[in-house]
Amino acid sequence: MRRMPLIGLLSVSLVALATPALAEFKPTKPIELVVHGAPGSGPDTFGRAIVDALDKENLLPVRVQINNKTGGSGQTAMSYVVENAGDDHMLAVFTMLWLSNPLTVKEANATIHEMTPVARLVLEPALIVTKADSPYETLQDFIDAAKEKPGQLKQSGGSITARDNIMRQILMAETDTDWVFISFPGGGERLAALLGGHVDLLMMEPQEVGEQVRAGSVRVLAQVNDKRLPEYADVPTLKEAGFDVPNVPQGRGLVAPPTMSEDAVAYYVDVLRRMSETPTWKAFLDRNQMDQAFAGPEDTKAFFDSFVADMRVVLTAAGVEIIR
Amino acid sequence: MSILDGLLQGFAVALTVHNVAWCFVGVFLGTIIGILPGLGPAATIALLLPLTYDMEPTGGIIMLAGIYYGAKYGGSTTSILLNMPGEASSVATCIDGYQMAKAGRAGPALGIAAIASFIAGTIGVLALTLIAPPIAAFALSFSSPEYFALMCLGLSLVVLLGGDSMVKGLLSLFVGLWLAGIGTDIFTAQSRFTFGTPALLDGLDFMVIAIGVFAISEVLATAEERGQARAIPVPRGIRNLLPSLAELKACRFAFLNGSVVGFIVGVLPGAGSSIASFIAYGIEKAVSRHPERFGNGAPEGVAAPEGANNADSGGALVPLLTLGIPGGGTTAILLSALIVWGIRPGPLMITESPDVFWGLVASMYIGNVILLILNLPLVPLFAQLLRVPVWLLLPIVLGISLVGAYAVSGSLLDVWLLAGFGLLGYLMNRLGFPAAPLILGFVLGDGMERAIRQSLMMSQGDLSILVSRPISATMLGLSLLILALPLLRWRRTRQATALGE
Amino acid sequence: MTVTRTDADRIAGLLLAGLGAFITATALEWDLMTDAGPGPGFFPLFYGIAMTVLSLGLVLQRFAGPSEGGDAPVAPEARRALAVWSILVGGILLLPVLGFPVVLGLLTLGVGFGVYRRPFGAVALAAVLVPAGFVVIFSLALGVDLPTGWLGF
Repeated sequence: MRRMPLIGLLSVSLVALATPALAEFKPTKPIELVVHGAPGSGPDTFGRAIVDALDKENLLPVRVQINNKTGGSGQTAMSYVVENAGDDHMLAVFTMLWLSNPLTVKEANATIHEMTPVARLVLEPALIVTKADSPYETLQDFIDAAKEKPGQLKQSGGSITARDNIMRQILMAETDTDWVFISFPGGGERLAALLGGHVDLLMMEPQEVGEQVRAGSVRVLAQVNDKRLPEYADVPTLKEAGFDVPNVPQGRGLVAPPTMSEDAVAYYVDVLRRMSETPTWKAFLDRNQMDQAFAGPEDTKAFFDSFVADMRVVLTAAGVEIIR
Repeated sequence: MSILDGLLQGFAVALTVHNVAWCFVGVFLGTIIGILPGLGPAATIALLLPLTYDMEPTGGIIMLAGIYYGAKYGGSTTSILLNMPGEASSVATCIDGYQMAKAGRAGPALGIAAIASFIAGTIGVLALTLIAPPIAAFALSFSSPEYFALMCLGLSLVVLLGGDSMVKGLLSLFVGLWLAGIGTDIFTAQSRFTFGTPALLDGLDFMVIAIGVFAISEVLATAEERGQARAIPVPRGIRNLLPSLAELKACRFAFLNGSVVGFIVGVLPGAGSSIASFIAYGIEKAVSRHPERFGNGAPEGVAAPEGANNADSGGALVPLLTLGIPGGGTTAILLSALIVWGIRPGPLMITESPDVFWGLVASMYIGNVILLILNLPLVPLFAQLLRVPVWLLLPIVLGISLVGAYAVSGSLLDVWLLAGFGLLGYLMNRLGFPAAPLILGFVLGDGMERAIRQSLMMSQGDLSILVSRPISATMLGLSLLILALPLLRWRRTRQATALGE
Repeated sequence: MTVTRTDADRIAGLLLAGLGAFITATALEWDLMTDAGPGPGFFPLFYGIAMTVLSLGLVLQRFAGPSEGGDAPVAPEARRALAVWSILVGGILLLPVLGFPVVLGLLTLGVGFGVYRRPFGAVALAAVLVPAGFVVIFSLALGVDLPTGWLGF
């Protein structure tokens, strides 16, 4: 033990020698990666994939530790990140929930706009599907039917602030139609409601619904993406199907606590940019059918702002009270 | 390929030395995390998942599935010994299991739980083997109106769980419904009864309430008694370590009931194993010739729910493997594990990956046998835990409860809630309010509200949707029948006494 | 003063009636029915009203006549139970300061020595061994997070 200070001193001076004079940032202790879901949930899996890629490709000199701050629909994690302002060794996985929640939830007193944007990593496309034996061959067929029987066709989906409802609101406004949106908490239940013929339409990520497409139990009407996905080359995008509406994005990436030093941000952006090009990361994207969509801090911030602006319009139109 | 061919091929896969070893590792780990509250199969599988990436898929899924159904076996242990549910699915086991232990029959209760788990677990796998595709189609015909009717069926059991005072039982139920309502409303994003606390946006955790209302309140009740050396009597002699033939005979129907109810409810993606075990318990009491024994240590009251939550595992794998639809948190993680290995669960899995499908199914037969062999010898060992003097046992129970509550989300709020619900449970007990309806209300409340609102959205506000669909109408009729049972019984006894006079 | 069963039922009934009224009033502030279907206030309104009515019924019944068990005290030994509960609450208060192992040791001391009056030596030994066992099983063997205090454990 008595030799420790000496070694410590030695290593400090070595680090000092190795790094350029203008103290660039280098992590000196394990990095804490905050995720708002329990182990095994979507955000957790995403966080672990990042850790896995950083680890396998040796991109960081220190370990990354996942911290599951669950509860409060993401609020517990968000408050935690805001509380740790200035911490250069903390990152957090954001999903669109982090953007939409503060708009409608009174208790959501920590917002993503206080945090430091780092990088958006992926965008998730989605498929609009109906049951294989339904009468709707195209999205237009469905819209026509909805026009004929206003308020009688049904779509299963997640929470009212989730992307599937936003997309529905946009489509309804565009086509002057009206159909019902029924919330189910789990993806499995949404899918079961469609397969059982209890609802008519479902919008879902290809990873979750892909097997049903392959087995021929559902029919894909359109894909919510700018360009056609390779696996669904014969399915039109919304625009191609004749609906000139914005594709509501579903993005994931990393943010940092408020007032993280600029050097640290630049360091992490660089590491993540390199990570996003590694085979490990690309294999993860392939497996989950996500789109590579790396964006630096400025673009990520612009992404947040435009999404929130769109959300405000759509939610107001849907009659949801906007809190902030 | 016929089912028999498939199963034989599956056994050829599952009986290799390393796959049996993985099966053993899985069910062993499962038993341990099942025994300890606060450690759930979902989190355990998620944490182990990265370690299995490089494993061969069949061995990997055999092990992870072993953790899943093994945890259900272990869950009953603390329910019976300490009135502390080890898993959400073993809450119903507390009701009669702990009473049996208090009567000095802890050993037999543990033994019945293990045997019920084995029988129902095996029947569940058998059903998975034989009727997976058709029963999956049945599960799809279930939608919100049917779920609402199922929840009504569950709620009608409160009549049976109610204890002496019906009014108090119902009040307890309403408090449970209210507790379930705390959190964010998924339909409108409206937060309800959160009192401005962001941490409550996701609602209260079931385990915190169950451990508080059952285990902590029991600690407080035990502490009342001065000069008592042990919390519950230690079973003496070999006869009190294993269930008697008479007890096993009494449980005949319960084994079957638990298996069938557990499997069917397990197949439904929108229900859960705690619902399955409560419904099995209720049915058991409803058809029993001695309903008054329930709640006072009836062996059937242990066998039915324990069987149900184990048959539920087999049931839950049906939609997962044949439709690619996970019904709950743990099966969702099993799904993502399969995807990592390049297996794609869904309608094509049986034909495309027969090795994995049949290998997994066959391993579950083996796993259930291993679990029985593993668990029966543990019975006398666990029963010895009761030798711990009460002044030492109480802090240990408090410690396990604290760890369990803290593990829910790593926040002290849950620990505070635990203490609060402990006091509430104690007061309810002393004032004659039964605790079981509160738990039942909490388990069913959320799903029930969702189902009725979804149903009315489907029908544009027309209530007749609940009775115009045959499955839903049947179940609603059944719940009315259950509600009417006590009345009928009461009339019959009155007639009998009138005749006697 | 002892609380009899009848008193207890009246008090509990009044408290629950208050809770029911609160639920009903809160539910009425939310949408009951919307164009899309039943709103967030729809379901709570039902159990809120039912709770209020039933608990008032209970209170009226108890003012009309005594409950079963009538004048028997509710919990003659409640003091000991409340003592254990207070020890638990004190322990939770200290959790963020002292960490889980120390608090569990104190709980053991409090219950064993304070409530059960066992010999101090035996209790003190248990107060060391029990937390040690917890740390070994949960923290070391199973990797479960335990609440940590200012000292980092």
